[in-house]
Order: sequence, then C-alpha cells, then structure tokens
Amino acid sequence: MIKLFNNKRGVSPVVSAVIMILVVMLSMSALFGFFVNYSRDFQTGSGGAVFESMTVEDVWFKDNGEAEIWVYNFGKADLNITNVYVNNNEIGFDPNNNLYIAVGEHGNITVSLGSASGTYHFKIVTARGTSFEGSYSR
Amino acid sequence: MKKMQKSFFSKLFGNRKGTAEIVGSVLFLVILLFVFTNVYLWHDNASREMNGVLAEKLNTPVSISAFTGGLNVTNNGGFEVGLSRLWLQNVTNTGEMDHMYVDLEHNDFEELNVYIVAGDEIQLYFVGENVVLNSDGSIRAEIDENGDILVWYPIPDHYVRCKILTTLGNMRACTYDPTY
Repeated sequence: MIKLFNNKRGVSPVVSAVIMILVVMLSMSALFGFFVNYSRDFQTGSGGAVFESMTVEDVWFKDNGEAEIWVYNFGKADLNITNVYVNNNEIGFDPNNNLYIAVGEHGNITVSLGSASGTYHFKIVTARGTSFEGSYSR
Repeated sequence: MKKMQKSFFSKLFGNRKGTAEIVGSVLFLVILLFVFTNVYLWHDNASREMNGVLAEKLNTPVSISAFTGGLNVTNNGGFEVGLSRLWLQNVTNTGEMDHMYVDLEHNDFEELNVYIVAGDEIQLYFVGENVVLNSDGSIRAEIDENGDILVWYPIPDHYVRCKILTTLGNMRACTYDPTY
C-alpha cells in the first residue's frame, strides 16, 4: 500500500483522464438539461397549439354597437385568447384583452363594432398562435 | 496486400489520439437524437390524439327539430354524444335579439350530463310560466324521470331560433314555429 501511494509515476495521465471525464460529464449534463428544458418549453408553449380547438357558438350583434362572441373550448389544452381581429383590424376586447378558457368551458368576448350593418370577419388568436376565423352578418 | 491492410488497421486502432473528440461527438449526437426524437414522437402523439377528437366530432353529427312545446335532438352518428348548451335567439317585442342559453351540463343544484347514445334521440320540453334562471344567468334545465329534459322557458308564442351545441363542438339549428 505504501508503495502504491509513494510511486508518483503515471499520476499525471490519471489526473488528466479524471479531469477530462469530469469536464465531459458536466458539459454533457448541462447540454442534456438545456435540451430537456427546451423540449418541455416547446411542449407547453407553441408545440401545445396542436391541442387547441374551439368553436364559435354564438355571435350577438347588440343594438348598442357591441358584439358578444361566445366560444367553446373542445380541445385538449386551455386557451388563452390574446387578440381579436375584425375585418383584419386588431381591436381591443373585454375582459382586459385577455381571456382564459379551460378545457370544456365557455367564454365570451365583447367587442365594439359600431352600428353599421354588413358582414364582419372575426379572427380570434390565442397565446400559442392558433387562430380561429369566421364571418357573421349583422 | 494483407500486410498493408494489417498495418493500416493496427495504425488506426493503435493510435489513440483524437479518441476523446470522437467520444464527445458521439455523446453529443446521442443527446441531439434523444431530444429531437422525443419532440418528434411527442408531436406525432399529440397530432394523433387530436385527430381522434376531430374524427369523433365528425362522427357525431346531431340534428334538431321542433314540435309543439319542445325540441327533438337526434344523434345521427356512431358515437355517444354529450349536450353542452341550447341557444335560444328570441325576437322580443322591442326588436332587439335576445340571445340566451340553456345550460345542459349542470344547473345550480346538480350535474346534468345529458348524453345521447348513437342513433338515439332526446326530447327537450319547454315548461313553466316564466323563465327560470341559474345563478350564472343561464336558463335552468332539469332531467325528468323519463330521461327527457325540462327547459324552464315558457312555450314560445313567436319564432325562436334554437341552436344545440354538443360537448365535441358540433352545432345544429332549427326555428321553433309557434304554429306547430
């Protein structure tokens, strides 16, 4: 035993190999962690758009110039509606320009259109980038 | 020739320079392959799952028709279908359109869970003298002992547009004509 620890020949290659292994292990672990995180972000973020689906169940053009749009989420992911376009123009909507609809739930969006009659083209966009479109006449 | 081959392979495998780079590159490729395979398989599975939902939606068309005092909803598809809402667009005396809905999933007291098996039909009867609302403003519905739906809305004496929405997002509409 004493001989083993007193003999310093060959120590340098062993130490360098250990350091090399440590460096490779650490960098690969960091890389692996980054990719796993990236993959999870993709699945919960833009990749999750594949699970989004909804239907416009009712559009009510009111006499005061507002339109109430009711939507139903029949997909497999919760919806976060962030933008509404009417005739390709982005417009603000209630409540507070952001509407969260859980799976199997209904939600309504109120937009101000004015009292002009005609056909309106609605485009509803979610935070994941999915858009749902439809035309309705007053 | 054999001697040349032997010396080539002995040189190739005998030389350990660059081994670390090769091992590192292989590990890197393994990680890349793992991640992209993982993402691809997940996306493939997700698409397949949603295709299943859309296929089920396509295979559960419903139809709705009116009769004196109620509505008849038929499941024309091959899967059981749940009913979510009945929308009533009612032309009032003021000329403004009232859009109200009947919640067919639950009322203030219980879960309704109205389902129609494949090829079957269900009746919705308008009952009551006045409209009865749930706390969320929807028209109340109940299930009677025969499995029919009682909608707490007076039998309309004017044209009412009725739209049924299923839990899979299918819709059908009809007009209730008071002269039935």
